[in-house]
Amino acid sequence: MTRSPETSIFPSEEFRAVCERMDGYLSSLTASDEYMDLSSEHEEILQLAFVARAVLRDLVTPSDEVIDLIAKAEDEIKSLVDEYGEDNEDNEDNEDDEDDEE
Amino acid sequence: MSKASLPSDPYLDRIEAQDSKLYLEILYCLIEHKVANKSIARHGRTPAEVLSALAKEKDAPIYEIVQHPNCPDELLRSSLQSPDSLVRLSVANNPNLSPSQIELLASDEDDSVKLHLSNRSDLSEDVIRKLFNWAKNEANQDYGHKMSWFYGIAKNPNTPREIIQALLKFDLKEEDYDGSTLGSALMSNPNMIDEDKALLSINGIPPKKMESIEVNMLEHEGLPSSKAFEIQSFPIQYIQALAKAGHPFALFHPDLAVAEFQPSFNEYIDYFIKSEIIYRTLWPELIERNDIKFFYLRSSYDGDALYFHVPGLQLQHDFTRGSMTYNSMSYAFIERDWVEVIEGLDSDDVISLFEHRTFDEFIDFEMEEIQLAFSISHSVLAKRVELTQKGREFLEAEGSTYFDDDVDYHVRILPDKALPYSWKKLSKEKQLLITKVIIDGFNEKVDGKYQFAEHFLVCIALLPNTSSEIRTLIEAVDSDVVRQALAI
Repeated sequence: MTRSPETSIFPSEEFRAVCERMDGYLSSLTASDEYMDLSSEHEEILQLAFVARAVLRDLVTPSDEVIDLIAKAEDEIKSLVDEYGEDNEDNEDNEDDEDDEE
Repeated sequence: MSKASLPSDPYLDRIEAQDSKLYLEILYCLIEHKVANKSIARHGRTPAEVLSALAKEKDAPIYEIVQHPNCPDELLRSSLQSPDSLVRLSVANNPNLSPSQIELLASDEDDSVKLHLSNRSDLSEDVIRKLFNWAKNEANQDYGHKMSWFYGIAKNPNTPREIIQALLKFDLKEEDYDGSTLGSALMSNPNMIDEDKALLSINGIPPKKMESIEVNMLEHEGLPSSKAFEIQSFPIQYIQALAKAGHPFALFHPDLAVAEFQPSFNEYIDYFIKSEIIYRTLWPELIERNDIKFFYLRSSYDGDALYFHVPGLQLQHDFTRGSMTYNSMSYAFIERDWVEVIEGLDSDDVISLFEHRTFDEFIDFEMEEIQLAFSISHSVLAKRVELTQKGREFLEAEGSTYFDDDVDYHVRILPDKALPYSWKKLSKEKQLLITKVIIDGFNEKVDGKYQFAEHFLVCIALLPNTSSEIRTLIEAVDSDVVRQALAI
């Protein structure tokens, strides 16, 4: 992903969308019971997600390097959400509830 | 009273022995400068005439003066009638009270005065009886909490046998806050008969004398002679006299020649550290570096500590209360005029404070914002992002919230206030001598002292004005952290 010529924090709408998704993934992970274990193993990727959140909140201006790193991290953090995310756990809980009802 | 003399200032003692006139001149000159009044009152050889002059000063250290063995009689007599019970309590500690003065204090309305009096060894039987009856009445009203009120009487060799027997019927094993008991106080009495000692032993009191911890208040306050070195305008002839008497601070005084004092690092390091004179010489001019930050840790758990941070330099810290680490200053009783603590953290401070922390320290469901602050800080350090104004405000707010109790405040260093001590003001010859002394201290590897030497060598390596000759000397020192400092 390359920076667009304008000087706004967001180099492109595409990057804004990436940051928004990263922020959502991060919320799902931090709400998870697994977060404490997860964070020690995936510290670097989580920090990138926090930086994406910082960009969204207008706290930092990202460099080209970090823009690329965040974009590349998206798939990895999404897979973490699939495995550990809060929504995923809810689903499992619901399935358990359904099992109980049966 | 035990005629134990107060500790005295060894350097003033030496001057007094050789030139009593000069000795008095120095004391009066110190009084004029007003920074050593308490120390003078705690110096065991301060004569009555000087104490008398001291008592007339504004904010005179009256509690110390009336305890002094050389306290003028007139002042002692008038202090017996002082409306301030702390003055009367202090008089009760004076070793030269007459029997009638002791009797008067034994009837004092204030309990703490009587308690202090009861610790004297020169009490008459009558006074001991009076104090015993007072303590017994008090103990009856609040049994179990005032056994310590009997300790002085229990230890006193003049205490009559019937009072000893009465004391043996009290709770002998109830521990005071410091672990002492009435039993151990009785065991400390040299006139206890074998039969009573046997009784105490049967009651589980070990045959060990109660240890009294004598705090050297003069050392706590600082020697008057050391205070003289802190006064910029103190007459140089007096400073020279103190240097001749071997005062270790002479090493760091810019106006004294090298030949006046030849020190040994390991012999004097405790002095240098406790007074912080060596830090006061080496630290302030470090601010001439652009990359250094000073911090003041204020912690209700660990206490306070002053330290600095230079990127790329790994200084080890142990801020545990009571520990005195070589890389920081944590001695609580030093007034550092050259240090101004700024109550607040800016975003750069917060970033520095996060630098040596790890992400997993902040893993907690309640601490998502601090993880954000941590991630931002590390990204700024890695030059991956730049802070916006909003980001700076966010870091300042989060830093202040997280570093709430264990707060690392930014510090403003004022080199002018550290004068006369200054590395720059020392002659090249003296800088070289000090460096060599410290290197010797490092190479001798005595206990933990060499680590202090290592820290001071780091400081010299970091100081912008250190000569190439000194840097060459330091390069030969076998220390990773010194090498780091030289490489920055």
